[in-house]
Amino acid sequence: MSNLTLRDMSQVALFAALTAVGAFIKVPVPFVPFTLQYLFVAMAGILLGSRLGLASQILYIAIGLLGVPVFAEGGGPAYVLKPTFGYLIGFALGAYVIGLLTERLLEAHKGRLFLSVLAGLAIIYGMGALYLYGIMNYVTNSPISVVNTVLYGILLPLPGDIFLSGVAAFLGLKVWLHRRASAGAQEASQ
Amino acid sequence: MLKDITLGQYVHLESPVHRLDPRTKVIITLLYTVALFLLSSLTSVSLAGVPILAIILLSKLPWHYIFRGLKPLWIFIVFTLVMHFLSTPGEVLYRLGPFEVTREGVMQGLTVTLRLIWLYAGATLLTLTTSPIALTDGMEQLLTPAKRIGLPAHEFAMMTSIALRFIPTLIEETEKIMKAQSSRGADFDSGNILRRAKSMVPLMVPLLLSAFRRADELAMAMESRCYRGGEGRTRFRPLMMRRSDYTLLVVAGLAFILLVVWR
Repeated sequence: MSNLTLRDMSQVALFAALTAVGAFIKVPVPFVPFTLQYLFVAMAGILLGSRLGLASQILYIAIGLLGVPVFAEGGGPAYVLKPTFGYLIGFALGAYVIGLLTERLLEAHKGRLFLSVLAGLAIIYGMGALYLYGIMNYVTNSPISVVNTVLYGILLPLPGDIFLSGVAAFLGLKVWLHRRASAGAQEASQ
Repeated sequence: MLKDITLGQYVHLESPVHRLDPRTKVIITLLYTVALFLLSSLTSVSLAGVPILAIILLSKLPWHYIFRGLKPLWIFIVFTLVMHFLSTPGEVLYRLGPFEVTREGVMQGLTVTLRLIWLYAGATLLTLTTSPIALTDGMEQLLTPAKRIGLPAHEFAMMTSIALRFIPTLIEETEKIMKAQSSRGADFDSGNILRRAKSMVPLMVPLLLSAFRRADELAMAMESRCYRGGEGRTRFRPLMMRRSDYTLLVVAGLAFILLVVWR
């Protein structure tokens, strides 16, 4: 973690900023706001790899907790208490897992990318639902049943995000190919 | 929209609270948060609001800023309150059909919601009176001891500043690319969901590629100006702890210890 090059640092900061921009683009859905954040989380995993992808999402969370309104509904340290904070923790883990699963791919493969992104999605939802359940039951003492957690925390927002996973895999592939092509062109010209 | 994001929630005013060192404010907010969870009775949780109200008065912040900070939480607050009123067993105060409001429920509901409100107000106050840059600087200094166990405090502060700088640039870039692609016939706001997703491609691919180029250029620019990390770097405006900072920290520390012992 501590041996980041300057280029790593600016790319990590870039994806933290992109995730923040993704949070501003929101579609109003009750209970769990639907945003494009997840698209950039998946892209961070695919394009930066596990280590830097994780760093970018941790940075994003840290900036939000510092009080800059970069989350879907503002920011500030008290965001930890919001039932949806678990999804943010899930973003960090999800980006890491997507990075782990894709960074070893030598050839771009749309199906494999899509499956990796879905694996990340599963982690985000697992973390989010666990946190939602924990906060509601143990911190604010407003009991919510497991069935309701699964319904509001997973089933309602899931279709939109599976769709986004496909978009993320497709876009990730495109950008990945472009970047490799331009890196190859640079090497050839030198 | 652009301005909102870069400035965060910070409101620039001249007040004793604004002048405090960010480190003092961070430490006191942390102590206050822990203290709130140590309090359990309704009276003590109500009294915990006194320092918050005093700070709001001292900071000269208009009240509606604080309420605006609480706005995202209020549905959550009402929900918690109602759940407690209805679901705690005990002495029945009021009956409405199958629902019973109990004395214990009212007490517990008020305690939990007040605690939530103070917690949120405290955190909001910190970010209303401290600019994000001052906060990152303060955090970097506070985390300096943790550098020994490998925590990259300086790198994190630097990346935070870079990310904050990138956000408005990216929004501007998105708008620019959208206009450019619209002028070439791209259609961003009509059609069914599949068509709209497809229209993301001519937006997102150039956005990401140009963003990567910007990040690379920034790294190169910093390197060519001999940036080499936090080691030995000096500041234009170093943070300074004044006497008022020390006094306040001692008072807050003593109050906290008293609270722990008295409990």
